[in-house]
Amino acid sequence: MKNEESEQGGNVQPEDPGTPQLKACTFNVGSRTFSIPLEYVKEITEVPEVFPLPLTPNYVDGIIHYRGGAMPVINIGKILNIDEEQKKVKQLIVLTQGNDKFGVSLNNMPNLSSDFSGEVIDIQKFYQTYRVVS
Amino acid sequence: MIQKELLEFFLTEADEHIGNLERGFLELDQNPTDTAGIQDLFRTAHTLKGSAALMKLNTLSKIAHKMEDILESIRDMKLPVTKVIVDWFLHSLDSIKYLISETASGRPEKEELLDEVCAALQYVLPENEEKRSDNGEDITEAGIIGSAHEDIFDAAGENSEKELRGNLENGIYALPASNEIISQENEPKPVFEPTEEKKATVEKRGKDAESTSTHVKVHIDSLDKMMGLVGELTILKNYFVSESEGVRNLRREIEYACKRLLKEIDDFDSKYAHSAPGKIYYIDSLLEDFRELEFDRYDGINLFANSIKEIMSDVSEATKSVAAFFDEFSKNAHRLDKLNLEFRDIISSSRMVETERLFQRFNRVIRDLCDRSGKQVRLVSSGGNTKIDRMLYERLFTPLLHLVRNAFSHGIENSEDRRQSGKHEEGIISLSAKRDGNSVIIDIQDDGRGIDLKKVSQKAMDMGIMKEGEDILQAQLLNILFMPGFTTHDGIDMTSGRGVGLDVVRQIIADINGTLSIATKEGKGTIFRIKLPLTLIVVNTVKFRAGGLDLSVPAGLIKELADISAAEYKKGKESIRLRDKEIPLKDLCALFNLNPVRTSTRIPVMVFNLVSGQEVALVVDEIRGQEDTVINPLGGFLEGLKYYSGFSISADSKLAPVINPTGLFEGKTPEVKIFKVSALEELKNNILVVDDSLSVRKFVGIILEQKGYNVLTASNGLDALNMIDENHVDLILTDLEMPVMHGYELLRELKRRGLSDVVPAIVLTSRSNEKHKEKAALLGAKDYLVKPFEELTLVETVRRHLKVEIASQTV
Repeated sequence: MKNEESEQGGNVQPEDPGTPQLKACTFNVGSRTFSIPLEYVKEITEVPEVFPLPLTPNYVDGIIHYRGGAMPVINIGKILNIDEEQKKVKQLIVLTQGNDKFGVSLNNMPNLSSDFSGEVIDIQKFYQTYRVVS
Repeated sequence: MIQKELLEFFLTEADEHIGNLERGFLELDQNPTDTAGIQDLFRTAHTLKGSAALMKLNTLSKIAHKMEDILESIRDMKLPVTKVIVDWFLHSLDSIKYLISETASGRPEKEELLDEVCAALQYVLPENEEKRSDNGEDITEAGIIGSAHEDIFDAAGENSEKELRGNLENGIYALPASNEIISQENEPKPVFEPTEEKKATVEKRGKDAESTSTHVKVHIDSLDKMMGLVGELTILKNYFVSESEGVRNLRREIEYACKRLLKEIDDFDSKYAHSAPGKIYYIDSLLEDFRELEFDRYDGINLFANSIKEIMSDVSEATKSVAAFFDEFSKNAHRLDKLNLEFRDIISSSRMVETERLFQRFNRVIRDLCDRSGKQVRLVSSGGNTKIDRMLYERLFTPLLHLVRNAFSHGIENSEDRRQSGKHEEGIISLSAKRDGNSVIIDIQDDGRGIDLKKVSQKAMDMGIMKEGEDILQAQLLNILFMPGFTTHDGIDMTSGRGVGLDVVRQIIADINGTLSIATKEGKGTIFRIKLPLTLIVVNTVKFRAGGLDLSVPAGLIKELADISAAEYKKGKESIRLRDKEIPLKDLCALFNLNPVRTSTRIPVMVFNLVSGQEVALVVDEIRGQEDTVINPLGGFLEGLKYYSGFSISADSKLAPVINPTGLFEGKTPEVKIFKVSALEELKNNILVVDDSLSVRKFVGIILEQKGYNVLTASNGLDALNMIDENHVDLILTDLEMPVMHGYELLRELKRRGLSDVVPAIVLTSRSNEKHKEKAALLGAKDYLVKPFEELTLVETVRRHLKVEIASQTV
C-alpha cells in the first residue's frame, strides 16, 4: 500500500468529484481518532519483530529491521497515556520526516481518507518533540 | 562533463602538490642552506602551474608561476633563503589553497589575490631582484602558456632528455595549447583525453614518476563502498556459517530419527513375521504344495516392513551425501570467511594513512602559533609510520588541533619563564603514534609547566563545581578539565581559552570508540593519550545477553573478561579485584531495568576502559562469543541516545544494540585516569657520548646536560653498541681513535644495522684532514666536529641533527 498520491503534489491536482483525492491517514487509539497528512506516510505494513532498546523513553517500543537498517517504533498510546490492550499482531505506519524514518504501531488497521478527522498530528512538531535528544 | 571530471583529478593532484610544497618550504625554513630539495619544489610548482592553467585557473597558475620564479632564483644562487621569503612562500601557498577551496565549491577565482601576492613580493626581494621580478611579470602577462612553454625548454637545457619527456608527458594534461611542443616528439600525443587515457599516460611517465607509476588513485568513496560491501559479506558469511551449523544439527536429528524408525520396523518385523501363520494369505498356486515351514511366505505387513527398510536405507544414504555436502559447504564457508578477512585487510590497508601525514599538518600550526605569540616551540614526532584508517585521520585532526593548541598556550611557558626554571628556551611539543594490538595510541606531549592544579581548583570553586575548602583528589580535579565550558585561561585569545577544547576532544574521541587519558606533572609537562581502534567499519564485537536481550560491544573497548561467584555477588559484592585493583561492579540488568537470567554459579563480567581511562566492570548474564560485524547508526530519531554506538545485524537477521560503555557511565560526570607520570621523562633526548677520554666525556656531558639533554657515555665502540642495545639513543657523538673498537668500526656497524639514518652520528675528533672526514661521511656520519671545539658549535650541531622534524622525513 505504497503512497503514490503524495508524489503527485497533493492539492495541485484538479478536483475530480468522481474519485476523491486521498489526503489523510486516519486511525484509532483507544477511543480517540487521529489523522496524519498522507505526504508523511511512506508505507503501512504489519509490525515485524521489535527489538527492545533499554533506557529509551517508554513510548519507544524498540527498533525494527527495515530495509537494511533499523527504525524506531513509537507507541502513540503510551505518549498520550491512553490505556489499551497491546495486541499481538500490530499495524505499522512508516512515516518520513526529512531524511529520517520512524514507525508508529497501532492495534487496528488505519484508513486512507479524503478528509481529516479527529485530531490532526503535525508530524514535524511530533518528530521534534519526541525525538530522543541527549 | 570531462571538465568536471578533470577538475576532480586536478583537485586531488593539487592537494598533493600543495602538501609537498608546504613540506618543502618548511624544510627550507629549518635548513636555509640545504637547497637540495629546490629542484623538486621547482618541478612541483611548475606542474601545479601547468595543471591550473589547463583548468583555466589563471590566477592560481600565475601565483604558482611566481613561486617558480623565486625558486629558480634560489636554485641559481641568485637569492638567499630568508625567513621573509619562506613567509612569502607560505603566504602564497595559502592564497593557492584558498583559490582551490573556492574552485572546489564552484566559485570563480579571486583575481586580486595575484596582486596581493605580487605586492608582498616587492617587500621580500632585495633591491637587485626587483628588476627580475618585473620581467617575471611581463612573462606572466604575456600569457601563461607561453611561459610554460619556455620553462620546458629551460628545463630541457639542464635535464636529460628523458626527464624532458617526463615533463612533457606530465604536461599532456597540463598544457592545453602545447601541440607544437608535442609535435616535436616522435609520437604525437593527444592534448588531453578523458580519464582512461590519463591513467595510461601515468603509467608511461618518466623516471621521476617511477614511484607513482604503480599506483592508481582511487576515490575514497569507492573504497568506502567496498568496505561497506565487505561488511555485508561479513554478515552474509556469518549467516552461512551459522546455517551450516544448523544443518549439521538437523542432520544429526534426521539420522537419529532414521535409526529409531529402523529399530521400530525391525522389532515389528520380528514380532509379526511368524506370529500369525494362520492368517497368511496364499495367492500363489505354485506354492500350494509347500507347507508353511518349507517355503518362506510374505504377507502385506512383511512387504510393507521390507519396503520401509529399503526406503530408510535410501534416506540414510541420502542424509550421508547431504552431510558430505554440508561438510564441504562449511569448509567453503570457512574459506569464504578467510578470503573475506583477507579482502577486508587489503581494503583497510589501502584506506590506511600514515600518521606522519596527520602530524605534518601541525608543523604549520606550530609555526604560525610561534609567529603570533613569540614563544619558541619545536614540534617533534615519532612513530609517524604507524598507519591509521583514513576515517580516523579525518576525524582526529580537530581533537589533535585542540590538544596541540592547548599544549602550546597552556602548557609551554614563555622563553623567559623557561630560562628561569632552567629549561631550554625552546619548548617541545611531541606527537607520537604507536600500534598496540588492535589499537593505536597517540600521545600529545609537552615539556611545559604542567597543569596547575591549584588554578584548576580555584576556577572550579569560582564556577561552583567545587566547594571552598573541599579536598579533591588530583584525579577528580583533572576531570573538571573535561567539562564543557571550563577554562583556566584568564582571557580568550586566538589560540585557546574559550573552554570548548577538551570537551570537544572528549566528544569526538568517544564517537570513534576511543579512550583518552592524561598525565601531568607540575613543571615537567603534560601528556594526553588517545587510544583508538584501528578501523571503524568492520568491528570485532563481543556478543552477550542481559535480561533476555541480545546485545554486543566492540571488543576493543573490553579490557578483560572475568567472572565472579554468583553467591558472593548476591551478598552485595560491589567491586572486583583484578591485578591489585578494585574495579567497581555495575549491573547492566539493573541499569537497563531488566530481570537478569543467571543460572550458573559464576556470572560473567566485562571490564571496560572508558574514554576518560577509568575502568568499570559490567555484570551481564551470558557471553555468547565474538563476531566481526558492522555497527550501523541508530538513525536521526534516536541520535541523542548516547548509551549505544548503534546496532549490529546478527546472522539470523536479529538486531543487537551495540552498547557504548562511555555513554552509559560517563554521560554526565566524566572521570579521567592518570597514568604513569614517569613517562614524562621520555621527553629529553638521549645523547650517547663515545670517547676513551674521561675528561672529554665529562666536559661534553656537562655542556649537553645543561641544555636539557640526557647524556649516556661509552668509552669505546663496543661499549657504545651495548648502550644502544639497551637504551633509547637519539644521537651519537663519537671519537675516532679508541681502543677495542674504533670510531669507524662503530660507524660501519651502525650503518650495517640500518641505524645511520635513524640515530644521527656525529664525529668529534682531533683529526682535521679531509681524508678522515670523507671516510667518516662515507660510513654514514652526519657531521664532523674537530677538537678543540666551541661549546656553541657543539650545541648547535647537536640540535640541528636532533630535529627529527616531520618535514624532513619524506613520505
